[in-house]
Amino acid sequence: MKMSKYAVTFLTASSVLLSQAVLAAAVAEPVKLAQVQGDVMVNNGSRFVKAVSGLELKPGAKIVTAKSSNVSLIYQNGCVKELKQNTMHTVGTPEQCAANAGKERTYVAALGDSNLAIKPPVYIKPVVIGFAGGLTTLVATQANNDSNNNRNSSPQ
Amino acid sequence: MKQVKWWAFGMVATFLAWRIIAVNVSQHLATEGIPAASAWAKNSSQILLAEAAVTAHADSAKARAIAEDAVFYNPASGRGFLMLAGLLELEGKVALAENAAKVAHFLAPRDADVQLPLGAFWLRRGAAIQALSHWGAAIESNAALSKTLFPVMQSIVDTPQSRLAAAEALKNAPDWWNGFFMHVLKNTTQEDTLKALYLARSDKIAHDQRRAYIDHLLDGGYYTDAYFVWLNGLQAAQLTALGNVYDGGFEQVLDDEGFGWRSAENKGVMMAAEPTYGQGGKKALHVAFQQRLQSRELIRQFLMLDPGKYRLSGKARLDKLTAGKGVRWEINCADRDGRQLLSNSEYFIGTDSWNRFETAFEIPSEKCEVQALRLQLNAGNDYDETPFSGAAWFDDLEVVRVD
Repeated sequence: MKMSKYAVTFLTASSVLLSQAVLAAAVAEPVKLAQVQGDVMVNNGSRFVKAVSGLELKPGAKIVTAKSSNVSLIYQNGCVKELKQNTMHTVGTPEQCAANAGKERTYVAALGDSNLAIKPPVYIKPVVIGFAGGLTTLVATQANNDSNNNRNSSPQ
Repeated sequence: MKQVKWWAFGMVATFLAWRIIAVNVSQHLATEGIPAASAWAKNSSQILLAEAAVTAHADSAKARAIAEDAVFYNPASGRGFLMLAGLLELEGKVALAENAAKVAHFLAPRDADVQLPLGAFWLRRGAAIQALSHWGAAIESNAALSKTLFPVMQSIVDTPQSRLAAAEALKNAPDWWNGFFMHVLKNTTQEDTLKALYLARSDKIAHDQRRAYIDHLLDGGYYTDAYFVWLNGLQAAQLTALGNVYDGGFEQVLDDEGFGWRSAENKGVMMAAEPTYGQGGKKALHVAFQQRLQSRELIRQFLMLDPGKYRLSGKARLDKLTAGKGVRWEINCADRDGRQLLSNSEYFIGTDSWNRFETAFEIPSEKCEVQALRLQLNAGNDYDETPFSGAAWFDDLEVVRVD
């Protein structure tokens, strides 16, 4: 009887912890910044602060890239969103990234420069996605390979 | 011996005096009639050029021969080579004409009377960009020419095929560029023309021109373009003040531009970012009334907030403020077709120490792409003639997303 009481307590505690972990994962779903170049600012509340590679943001955060600046957003589902210069982007959910949806305002500063058009997101194989050190290089390499091989593009 | 010296000196002086009189009289007469002028100075380059101009339509070959004589008598005359270029062009000797035009420019790079026709020459030759550079030089020498030339120059920049090259060619122009940009801003119907001109010179554009361009973009509903033109004009230190509200602590200079703080011209009220006690940073916004005013906006800032729920908060201190009903902060949509009031603070009036205020608001998803945060004066009843006086201080304004 005593044993089963412990077992019930243990199972209850475990299930609560597990559900909280699942809930946390579902709610937070942070997006990681990589390859930050130039003046990239992020807004997590009321102020903009200068972005650095590795910084994690939640959906709803705003990113602004000034001229000659760019940044990549890496979602946990492997979707990578590249922001070119002069872009104001509100971080969306992984699903929005995959669907290339979400709020984005871009000032195409150079006339007729087709390189500045908004690129569709690139998909990284989830197996290589881990929010650990050295990810930036891995993702960059992988993204390049993917785009070169014309594979794993977003479902557009 | 001494007498001979004086005789020689007298002879030289007489000769020089005669030449001065002859040349000047001939030049004066040249404007009225060539025969009379040439009677005074037969080999004057200027007379010969006038003669060539008159002869050109009847006999271009003869006119060219006269122009060649003019150049022979004054080989440093840019006008001579310009005439020669025009006559050679008439004869269909294009390569020679172009060479003569280049020499004319080399000899008279700052002579508006040479540069103006040189521009026309190159435009006829299909070199619109070269024409622009000559007309730029002409305006540099004679600013009054801008009135005539700006519309023609604008038509070149307005042409999509030559737009980028034209903007690039003009970017290093001296002060008249500002006038040209303002002319185009007022007259063009093509946003790409303005964008090309602005971007070509964005690193050294003057405050007034940038502000006018941003206002033009805002008026036209090009909010994102306006935002990035403003953002890219900020200094590194100013970037640190970016937020949902830019420089809510009033630590930067109120430069009245773009998405920064913009104070309306208001006689009777003084507004400045100044040090005071009890504020968050080094400074706060000081609004001091000196006389009675009508109800009006005192200072504003455009915001670019996404749709959603927010809270505006800040701190206020009041120093014996007497100003009708008072002043209050308001947030409204600022789209061209959507100006609805979203929220407002309480009115600030009287005397109070630093106190925090806040108000909640929601940005709708439509017709509210850009918003305005503004300090509004309510002057109260018309029959109340109590003079306005005292001051209000504001600091640490911020907008935080709450949903």
